[in-house]
Formats: sequence, C-alpha cells, structure tokens
Amino acid sequence: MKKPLSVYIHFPFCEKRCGYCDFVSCTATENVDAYLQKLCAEIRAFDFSPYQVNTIYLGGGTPSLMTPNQLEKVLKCLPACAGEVTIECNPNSLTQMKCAAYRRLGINRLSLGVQSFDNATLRDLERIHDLKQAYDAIKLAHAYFDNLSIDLIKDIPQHTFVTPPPEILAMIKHISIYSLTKDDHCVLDTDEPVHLPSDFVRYEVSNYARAGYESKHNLVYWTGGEYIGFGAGAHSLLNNQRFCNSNAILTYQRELPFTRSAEDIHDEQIMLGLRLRSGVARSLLVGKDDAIKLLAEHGLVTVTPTHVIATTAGLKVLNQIWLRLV
Amino acid sequence: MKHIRNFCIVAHIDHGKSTLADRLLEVTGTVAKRDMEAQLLDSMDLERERGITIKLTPTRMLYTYHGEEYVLNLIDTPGHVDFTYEVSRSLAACEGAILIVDATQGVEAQTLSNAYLAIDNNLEILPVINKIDLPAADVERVRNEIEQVIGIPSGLAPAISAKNGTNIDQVLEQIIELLPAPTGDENQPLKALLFDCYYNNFLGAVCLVRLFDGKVKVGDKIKMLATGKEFEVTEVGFFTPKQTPCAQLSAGDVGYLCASIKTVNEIKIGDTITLTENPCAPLPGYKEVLPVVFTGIYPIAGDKYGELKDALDKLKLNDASLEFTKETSTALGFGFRVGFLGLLHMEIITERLEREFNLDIITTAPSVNYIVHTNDGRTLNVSNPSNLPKAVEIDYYEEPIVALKMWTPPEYIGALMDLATNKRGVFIDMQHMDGNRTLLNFKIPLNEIVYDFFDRMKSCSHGYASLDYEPAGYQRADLVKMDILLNGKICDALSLIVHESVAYSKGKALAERLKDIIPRQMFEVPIQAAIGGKIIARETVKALRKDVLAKCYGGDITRKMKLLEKQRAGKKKMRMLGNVEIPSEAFVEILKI
Repeated sequence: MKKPLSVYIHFPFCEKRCGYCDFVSCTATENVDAYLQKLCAEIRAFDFSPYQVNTIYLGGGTPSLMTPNQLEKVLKCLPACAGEVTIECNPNSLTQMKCAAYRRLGINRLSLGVQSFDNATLRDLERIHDLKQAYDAIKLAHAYFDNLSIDLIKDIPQHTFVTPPPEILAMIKHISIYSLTKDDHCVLDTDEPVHLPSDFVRYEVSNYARAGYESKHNLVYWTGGEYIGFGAGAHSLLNNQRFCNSNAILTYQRELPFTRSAEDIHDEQIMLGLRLRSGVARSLLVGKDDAIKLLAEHGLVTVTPTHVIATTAGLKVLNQIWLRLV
Repeated sequence: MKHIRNFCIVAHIDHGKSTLADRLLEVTGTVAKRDMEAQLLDSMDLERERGITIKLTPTRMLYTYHGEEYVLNLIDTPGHVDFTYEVSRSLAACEGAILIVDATQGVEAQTLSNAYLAIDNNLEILPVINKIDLPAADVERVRNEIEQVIGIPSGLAPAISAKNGTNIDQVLEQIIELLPAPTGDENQPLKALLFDCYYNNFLGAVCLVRLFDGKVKVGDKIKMLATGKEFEVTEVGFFTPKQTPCAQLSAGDVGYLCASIKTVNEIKIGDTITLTENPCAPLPGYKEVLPVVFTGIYPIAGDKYGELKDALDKLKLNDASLEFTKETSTALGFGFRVGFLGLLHMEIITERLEREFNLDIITTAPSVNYIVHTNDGRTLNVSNPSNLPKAVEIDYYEEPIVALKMWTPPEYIGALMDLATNKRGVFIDMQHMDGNRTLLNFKIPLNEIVYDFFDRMKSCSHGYASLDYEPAGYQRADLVKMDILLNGKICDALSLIVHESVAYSKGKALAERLKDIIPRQMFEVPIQAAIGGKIIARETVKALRKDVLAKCYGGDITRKMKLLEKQRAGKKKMRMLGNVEIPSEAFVEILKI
C-alpha cells in the first residue's frame, strides 16, 4: 500500500515582480533553462517508490510563462497522478495554445491570478494585466477547464473590494480571497465583508468553493498530509519533518529539517483546524472547556459534539482564539 | 592596630563616590590600572550570580606612608535617600568618613543628611572637593559652603579630580593623618558587628564583620547575641576586593566570616557576634528601620510563588529593611505584601527579582501605611487598600506625613512650590543658603511623594534641585478608596486610597491611562473607576477588529507558527484578570498620572 503524497513545484520567474508577493520570484528569465534543468534533476533524484502522488500544484512566480515543451519536461519527471493537477496562470500570458497543451499534459485545474475586478485597483497593485484581459482569460480557461479558480485580494488601502460579477461566478468553481499583507501582517486592521452566492462555501479563512471543488492540494497542507516541494523556496512535510529549499534561484539547496514535537503537531493542528470550516476536533482541546465556553458566549466559535468551529466573527481574530486554545 | 583605618565614603548621589573608590583602589595598587575595568566587572558578574547588591564589598587596601604600612578598609555605602539606614549600618563599622562634595554643585540635600549621620555616629569627617577638572568648578565657594552649611572645617579639604586621578595621594595621606585608628582590645572577649551579609551557594551566608574587641579564627564557636544561634567558623578573611581567606581577624579589623549558616532567619544584620565560651556585652545595634512604602508583589505565573518566596528570603539577607508578608489577591492569586524604604528601593528590589532570580513579577500600586479609625472605636493599620473595612464602617483616616526638604537654585522656587502644593504639601519656611541656593521646607503627605515626586522635582528644576525627607507623624485626612472595575468586576490589585479632593480627576485619568495600556483584545473591555459603589469614570477598550494570518499557501506552516509563537511569547508577559489580559507593567504605570 503506497502512502499518499502531494507534490508542489515552484517556478519563480515573472515578467514583473509584484510588491505584495512573498513567494520566491525574479524577472531574470534568461535563467529559465538552467533553473528547469536543476529542478528536473531534483525531482528525478527523489524516490517516489513508496508514494502514490495524489495532487500536483505548479505554483510561482508565473508557471504559465513556461512553454508547453518546458512544462512537459518537468511533468515527465513525475510519476502519474490520477488526482488534482493545478497550474497558476497570469491572465495576460494565458493563450488557447497553452490551455490545449495543459489539458494534453494532464492538468485539470487552473488558478488565475485575477487579483481584482476593478481597473484602478489592478493599476495600484501594479499588475501587468487589466480587467478586459482578466475577463478574456477567464472565458478562455472556462472553455478548457471545468475546475477553474481565481485569486483575489481585499483589504487594500483606499480601495473597496469588488465582488466578481455573476457572469464570472457562473464560470468558476473556486475563489481565493486574501487580505493584503506586508511582512506577514495584514496592511489594514479592518476586514472587508465578502458577499458571494451561497453555493460558494467558505471552507477556509480565505477560500470559497462550490461543493466538491475545494482545493485538494491545499487541503493536504491544512490537514497535516505529506507533501514534497521542488524548486527554490519550496516547502515539504515528510515523515514528521518540515524542511524547505533555500531561496537562491540557481543554487538553492535543501535546508536542515525540523522535526515536530508532539506539542508542535498539536499547536499546528489547532491553528490549521481553526481556519477550516470543519473545525478543530474537541479531542485536541482537553482542559479548554472554560475557554471554549467563553469564546462561544461571545459568538466567536460554535461547538458541535465533536468539533469547535470558528464563526464568521471568529475568523477575523483567529490568532487570539488560537492563543486561548493552546 | 594604630596602622588600621576604617572609613567609608559618603556623598550626594553623582558627586563621584564610586570614581573616588576606584582611584583609591588603583593608587594603593590594590587593583592594577590595566585590570581595573576587567576586575571590577568580573566581580560584578560574580555578585550577580550570588545574588547580592551591585556594590563594593569592604575592601582592604595597603598604603605606605612615611615608611610605615597602613591597612585601609574602605566600606562602601549607597548614595540614595532611601538607603539612609544602610549608610548608618556601614558607618557603625568605621571611625571616619570621607565626605565628597561636587565642586560644581556644592552641598546638596544628601551631602547634609549623610554628614549629619556621620556626626551622629561619632565619625571623624574628612571633606573632599571633587570634580575640579570641570570648567564650572568653584573650589573656594564650595569650601565656604562646607564650613557654613555643614559646620565642619574645610581648609585642608583636598581638591581633587577622581576622574583624572588628581591629588588622590592627598586623600590617602589625610585618611592616615586625620582619621583615628580603631580602639579596642584583642585580649577582651570577641565583640564583632555583623554589618552586612550575602549568600554564597557553597559557603552559605558570608557575614561582613567589624571586630571591636577580641579575635576570631577558623574552628571558633561563635554566638549571635540577638538570635541566640551558635555556629562554628569555617572561614575568615578579607576582600582585596577578591575574597581572601586569612588565619584570623582581630580587634580593629574589617573582614568576613563564614560559619555554614544556611538559612536567613538564623542571622540578623546589626547583631553582635561573640564567642560561645566567653561572651561579650552586646553592641548598641541599629535603629530599626521601618518601611514606608508597601506594594503587592505577585509572580506572573502562579506556580512561581515558591521561587518568589525563596528569592525574597535571599534578598532579605543583606537588606534588613526588606519586609514581606503573605498576601492573597482575588485577581492575582498568591503573593506578598512587601515593605520598602522608598520608591527607589522598591525599583531596585523588583529589578533584582527579575534580573538575578529570573522571575516575571507584577508589582501593584505602591501604598503607604494608613491608620483607620472605625465607628466602633477600633484602630487599624492598613497598607493594602483591599484590607480596608467597608466605607460605612470607617470613621476617619490618618495618613503619614513627612518633613520634606528641597534644595534648589532660586529660579526654580516657584515651580517647586507649585509642585509641592499641588501634592497637598504645606509650606513651612524657606532658608537662603550661601552659594545661590535655597532650602524649602514642607510638610507633605507621604503618599503624595512615593510615586513620581522625585522625577517631577528633577524635571521642573532642570535637574538642579535635590530632596530629602523624614517621617513627621500622622495626620487626619479625607481619604477614600477608589476601585477599578474591568469588565464590570472589581480588580482588587488596582484599588487605591486617594484624597477626596482629587478622587474624581484621578479616577478619570486612571481610566484613560488604563485604556491606553490595555491592548485591544477579542472582546470589548469596559473600564470603570468607582468610589463606594458609585461609578465616576468609564472608558472602553474596543474589541480587536482583526488578528488573523491572511493566507496559508505554499505549505510554509513553520513561518506561520513562528508568527503565532511570537504572539504567544508576548502574551506570557500578560496577566489574566478574569477575561481581561493586562500587561504586567500596567499596575505601576497607572500611577504615573
């Protein structure tokens, strides 16, 4: 019986760096071939034999900058994956040819970095695409992919969050909406409300999906499953060890692993569980009845016989709730 | 014995006591110049490890004068007004005192109070004028001031610069010429004064002693006259400033002895040590010092109560003035009510608890001892507002009053007058001293000066004024108890006793201050100030609007956990009062209003 595994592949190159992005990225596209060579060698060196690869996620950077040939070389290093295979795309660089190639290569989920449905906001975020390109990209992607996701940013100073219009919502299955952050902290201390049709369920703090279209790959991160990351700055969790690659694009190396203690695992499980609609198992919250009761009285959590689940109000102050429950 | 001189150095704060002590050590070759810094720092580290005050141990110096070698024992004294009692402790071990006066500042409040203490202890005083290297130095003016204000001859007073090492030899020569040698008889029964003590993990209590009569050596059976405890001496010696064992100590000597004394309550600073076989009559001992400022000290983590008690016990070893009793607060749990000689003393002790014993503590609002008269004719001493009887049962209060002396250049008289009268001070008189200085005499309630009076006096006189005070009895006063309610519940650790006339404004200011100190939390926190059940002020700490990690993609969970751990570490410095988190410094911060 093979163990389930998820695979993350990082492609750090972009046409332009975005100020708000905290992933490893660069614009030196002359290094793409050298990077891909190192990346492929890294993937081939990994022993997949004990594992069944369930999800693959191509993230960045801008993975849609890869030509179909480059992408094929990378994916050929991996064993077959029967499950979710996602690629992140920028609206301005998605083409019909790429969409066809992605389908041919087994990719079955697209995540489009739309970021906003307001041109002024896109300008201030210094995005290289405009609203029209976003619309076109969504329509194009929808023609090829049933499982289509878009990324949006909210809580931006001097801007109001614009809800995706109905004709867009009709074409997509999943939306990630996160607060603008700088140095790991939200830029604003306010939380703009998000109003989506009720068939989009908020299954994680910043993620909404129609039934059955939750991101399988991200849920592996959030539920403690095992994953291996390839490429600069990629993170992994294997055999209870967390480790990552360094950030240097062409010379990255695997850094020393960190083995989680029982307490680390416990604290992580509570942190991640609170973010999910499924909540935290009460078996993890022994001795916290008073805290739970207090949180429930203030409408920050709801309590089921088996789980403690953050309410909409609670989701805004999850760090505080976590502090009371660990 | 005629080749021994036991002396201390007294001065107003910052007049250069430590610098002169360093120069004396250097000039006598006790500590080589190149080792000066290194050695003293080392010994400070050591002192910290052993948990004793950062001050010099009594140091033996050798100095050759006219071909004869003299033993000079320098006994250090603290310089602040709070520590008058400690000064007198050290003075009792000496025959002479060097009185340092700053050539730019002249005679200050504590110059005078220390000089009087030395005179009270029958010490010969050797005035020294320091800081002659500074451009503002006026040696002749200061000489006159010493003669006129203190009333001691200063014609021969060496004018020195301790910083530059100028004329240090003159000081050493005058110590030998002018200060008397100890008198005593080494053939009499042992009579030694225990004037200080610190704890060493290996040796137990290290007792600092001054021998007046007799001698003591390893193996002697000794007896503490006040506590009646008996011990066998395991080590005797002196400090150079390193702890240096020797064969015996005899009359006139200053040194230390160890006797496997393991617990604090077996000894008492100020006690007379003698031989079990052949006891002496006790020395007069010290005037008991009474604490005037009281505060609750609690561990932030409830399970550290035992460690806190242990730490206080050890501190009491060389700080006889420290008093503490068990206390329980509904808000803070188990802790101690600790009595101090003043606010600085309190700051030093709390800092030592945190630094040397690594304890996270909460200090509640400082209070003084009130006398409460009840309707049914009882009289109670109350230093903790929580222990007050109900308001309806109280007939009247009496509060402690002090005689306050402030010395200032005349241009700040107005500001200081305002300061003192705003603090309910009553002006007594004003004396113009020589050298452009004025002495202001006030009577003022002690509780008005325990919080921040010293800082305010310094700031409204640009640092030029100095103060001294002494207890002046009790006086009837219109006082009320003010409670602070957090989330609708009284927080006993924040209760205060205040004068009725300022209760309303103080309550309002207090609520506002707390609102700034208490961070936003998950829930709204109402803060109320109340007198006798009547709410006089209300503020609200609004609920946090957002505190969440925005996104958790890419599998970098470790980084997210680190952010949370940082928050968790911050929270450990907070104390939960009911459902409200309060930073531990809030309890003292609120007094600075």
